Amino acid sequence: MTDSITIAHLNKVFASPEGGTVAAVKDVSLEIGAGRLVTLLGPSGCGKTTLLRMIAGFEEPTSGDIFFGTRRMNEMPPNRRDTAMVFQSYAIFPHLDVFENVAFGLHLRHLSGAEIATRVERVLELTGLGGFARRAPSQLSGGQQQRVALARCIVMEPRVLLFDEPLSNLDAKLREQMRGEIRELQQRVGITSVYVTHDQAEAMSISDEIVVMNAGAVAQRGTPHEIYAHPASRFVAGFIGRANFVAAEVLDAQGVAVAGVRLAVAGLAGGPVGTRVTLVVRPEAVRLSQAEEGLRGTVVRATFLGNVAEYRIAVAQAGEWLVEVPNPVENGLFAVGTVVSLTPSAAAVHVLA
Amino acid sequence: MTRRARAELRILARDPLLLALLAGIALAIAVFVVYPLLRVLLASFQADGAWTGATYLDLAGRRLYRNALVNSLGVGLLVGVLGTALGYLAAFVLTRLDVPCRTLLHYVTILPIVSPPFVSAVSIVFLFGFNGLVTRQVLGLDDFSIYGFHGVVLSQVFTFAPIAYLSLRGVLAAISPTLEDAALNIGATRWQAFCRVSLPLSLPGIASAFLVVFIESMADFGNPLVLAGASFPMLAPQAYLEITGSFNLARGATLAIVLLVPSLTAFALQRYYLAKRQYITVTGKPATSTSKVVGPVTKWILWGLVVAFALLVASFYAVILVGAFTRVWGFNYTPTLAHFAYVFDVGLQSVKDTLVVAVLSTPVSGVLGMLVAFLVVRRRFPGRTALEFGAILPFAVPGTVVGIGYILAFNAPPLVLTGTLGILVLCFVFRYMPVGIQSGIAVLRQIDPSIEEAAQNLGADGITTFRKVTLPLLAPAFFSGLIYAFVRAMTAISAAIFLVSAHWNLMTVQILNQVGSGRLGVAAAFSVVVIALVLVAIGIISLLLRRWSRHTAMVRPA
Ligand SMILES: Nc1ncnc2c1ncn2[C@@H]1O[C@H](COP(=O)(O)OP(=O)(O)OP(=O)(O)O)[C@@H](O)[C@H]1O
Ligand SMILES: [Mg+2]
Repeated sequence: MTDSITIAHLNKVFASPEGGTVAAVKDVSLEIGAGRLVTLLGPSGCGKTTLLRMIAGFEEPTSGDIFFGTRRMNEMPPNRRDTAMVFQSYAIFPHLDVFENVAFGLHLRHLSGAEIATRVERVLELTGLGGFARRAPSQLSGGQQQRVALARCIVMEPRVLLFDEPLSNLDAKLREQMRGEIRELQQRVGITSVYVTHDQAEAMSISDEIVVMNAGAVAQRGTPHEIYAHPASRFVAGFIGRANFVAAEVLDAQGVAVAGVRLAVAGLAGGPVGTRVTLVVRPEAVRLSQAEEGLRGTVVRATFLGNVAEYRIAVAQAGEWLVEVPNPVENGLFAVGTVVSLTPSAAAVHVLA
Repeated sequence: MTRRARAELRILARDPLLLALLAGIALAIAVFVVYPLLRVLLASFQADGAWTGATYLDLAGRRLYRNALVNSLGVGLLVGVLGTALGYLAAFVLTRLDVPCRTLLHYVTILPIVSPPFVSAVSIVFLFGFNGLVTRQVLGLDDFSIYGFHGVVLSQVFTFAPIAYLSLRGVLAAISPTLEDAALNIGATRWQAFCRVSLPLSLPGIASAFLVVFIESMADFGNPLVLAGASFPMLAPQAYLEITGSFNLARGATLAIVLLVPSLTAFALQRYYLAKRQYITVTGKPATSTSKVVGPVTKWILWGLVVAFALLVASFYAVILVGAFTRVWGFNYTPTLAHFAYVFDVGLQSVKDTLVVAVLSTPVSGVLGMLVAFLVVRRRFPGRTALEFGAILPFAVPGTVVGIGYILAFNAPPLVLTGTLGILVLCFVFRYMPVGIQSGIAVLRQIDPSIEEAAQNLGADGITTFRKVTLPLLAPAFFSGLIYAFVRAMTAISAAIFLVSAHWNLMTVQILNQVGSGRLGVAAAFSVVVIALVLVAIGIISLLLRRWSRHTAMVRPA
C-alpha cells in the first residue's frame, strides 16, 4: 500500500574530497500526502538527488528523520524500504532482457513463476512495451529503455516511487510525451511519488506540488499555480518562468509608483505608504500599445518567435523589460525604436516584500 | 575507532551476510597472506630460540650469499631491460604497424605465458646444452657451457618478454595514433615524432612493464634451478636448497627476506607511483589509424625482428614436442612413446593431483577475486585500503617466500596443514587472486554504480546484488581471472615445491625431478601434457564465458 512521506529537519553533510565539508541538504522538512506526486525542483547542485537518495536509503542522513507513514526509515537498508527508483541513467541490467529486468524484483520476493509472468506482462502492456519482452536493452531506443526502467518500478507496486531526472536523456519531443505518460500512469496506480527535475516546464506539467530548492534548503513549496503566481522570493520567481523585477514604491492599497508612474496592483498586502518593494512582472502579463500615457519605453529588440513576439524595452528609470505579445502573425510587430506604452495587468503583478 | 569508521560499520551491519563475508575474507587474508610473511620475517631474526640479527650478518659475511644477491639483481635488471625492449617492439609492431600475420604472431608471442616454468629452460638445454642440437650436433662445440648468467638471462627473457608485451600492448592501444599524426602534421620528422610524442607517452607504461618483469625474474625459480649451475648462485634456488638440503630454516628465511625486499620495492613503485602516471588519450571509439612514424624499410626490419622472436618461441615448443617423443636426446633420436607411457603410469597420480588442485583453487580464487573487487570499489568500510593491499600483495611476493612462510606457519598448531591438499589449494587461491582483483576493479570502475543500486532498490541485499548483477557484469574480468588462476595453478612451482608431499604431488615438481635426474625426455612429455591440459581448460573456460554472458555484447544503457 502506498504511504505518505514525512521528512523532518533533514541534513546531509558530505566530506568533500578536497577536505572540508559540503552541506548538500540543509534542514529540509516536508510532508508528502499519500498518492501525491511532488517534484523537487532547483538548479544543479542544490541537493535534489541527495535528498532523493536519502529517501531511497542510499545515503545516510547526517541528522533528521524520514518516515513512511508512521514508520521511521532512517536505519532501514535500501533493499527493505519498498521504494522503487527510476534512475537518471535508467540503470537497466544490461545482462538481462526486458522481461527479466522487469521481473527482477518480483523474483526476489519469491513469487510464483505464473504470478510473475502475469504481473510483468500487464505492466509491459501498460507501459507500451508489449512486443519487447525478449529484447536485450541494447536493442531498445532511449525512450523504450526509459519505459523499461519505469515498468521495473511500477511492477513492484512499491510504497513510494522515486524519479531522478528520468527524462533528461531524451530529446525534447519524447520528453514531453513521456512526462504525460508518467503523470497518467502515476495517477492510475496512485503511488506516492517524488520526482526530481531541474526543468521547470516538466515540474509544472506533472506535479501536484512543487518544492523549489536552493542551495540545499527549501525555497518554497506549493502547487504549480501558487509557485508561479506568488513566488516567495526573487530566486523562485526567476527560476520558475521568466520575470521582470521592477523597483517600486507603495502609494496606497491599490497602487504603486514605478518611475513616477502609478500602476494598479491587486492584492497589495499593505505595508505603509512609501515602502520600497520589488514587483514581479511576468513578460506575458504586459500589454503594449502606442497610447501616449502611462509607463513608456523604447523597443530595443524585437524577435519574432512564431507564437509570440518577444521584445526588450528600455523603460526610463525602470530598467529593461522583457515583454511577450501573443499571436504576432495577426497583430504585427513593433519595430525597433518605436516608443510604446506598457500596461501590466493588475491581477498578474506580484509584489515581493 | 573514529566516528567515520563506526558510521561505515553501522551501515554495513544492516547487511549482516555481507558483513560476515567481509570479516571472513579479511581474516583469511590475514591468515593466509600476511601471517606466513610475518613468520618468515620472525624466523629470519631468530637463532636457537633467541632474537638475533646474526643470520643477516652471517649472510653478509659469506661470498656465496653476496654473490647470490648480486646475481639475482643483475639478472633481474638485465632481463627487465631486454624483456621490456622486446615486449615494446612486439607491441608496437603488432598494434601500430600494418604488417601481415598479426593475429598469428600475437598468439605465438604469448604462448610462453601459458606454459610450465621449465619449458624454455629444457628447450635451451636441448638446443644449447652439452649434448645440445645446436652446440654439439650443428656447431660441434665441446667446451661450450650454457649454464650460468647467459643461460638464465636467455631463458628468462623468453619466459617474461611476453608479459611485458601484453601490458605494453594495452599501454600503446590507449594512446591515440592521431597524436603522432598531429606531430608529423606540424613538421616533426618521424624520428622526432616518435621520440617526442609516442615514447614519452608510453614511458610510464614501459617503466611499469620493466618492474613487473623484474619482479617475475627475481621470483623465478625454475629457470635458475635448471640453468644457473653451481658456480652461479641465485637467491630463490639458494633459499630452497638451504631449507630442503641443509634444513637451515633461519638461513632460508633470511634469504627469502633478502629476496622479498627488492620485489616489494619494485611493486610499491609500480603500484603507487607509476600507476597514477599512465596516460590514456583514447577518446571514445578506438582509433584505427596505423602509425606513420616508421618508414617502409624500418617497418619491415621491425617486423622481421618480431617474426624472428616468434620463430624462436615456436622452435622452443617444437623442440619440447620432439624431445617428448625422442628416446635419448643427443644420442638416440629414435621416436618413442616411452616418455608418455611413463607420465601416464608412474606420473599419473601427479597428473590427477595437479588437476584436482587447479580445479579446486581456480573457481574459489576467481569468485573471491571478484568479491574483493566488489567490496573494495563499491563499499565503504574501515581498513578498505589495507584489505585491497593485502589481497594483491601476493602478486609481489616471490613464491619461494610464500612456500617458506607456509611451512613455517602451518606446520604446527593451531593450524596444521602441511602435506594436505588444503595447503596447496589455499596457497594457490591467494597467490593467483590479485590479477583477477585488479581486472575486476578496472571493469567495476567503468560500470555505472546505479545499476547495482537499482538491484538494491528492488529488494536485493548485498550478496544477491553481487551474485545476480555484479558478477554477470564482471564476466569478462571474471573469466580472464579464471584462466590466469588456472594456468598459474597448473604451472606453479616456486611455492608449491615446499608444499607437495607423498600424497599430493604436482606435475611441475615431477618435471623438476626428471630434469634433476637428467631424464629430459620425460620432463618434455610432462610439459607437453601440462600445455595440452592448459589449452583445453582455456578452451572450456572461453566456451563457458560465451554461453554464460549471452548479452555480453550489450552496452550500458545510454
Ligand atoms: N558523495 C558526495 N561527496 C561529496 N559531495 C557530494 C556528494 N554527492 C553530492 N555532493 C555535493 O552535494 C551537493 C548536492 O548534490 P546533488 O547531487 O544532490 O545535486 P542535484 O541537485 O541533484 O544536482 P543536479 O541537478 O546537477 O543533479 C553538490 O554540491 C555536490 O557536489
Ligand atoms: Mg541530481
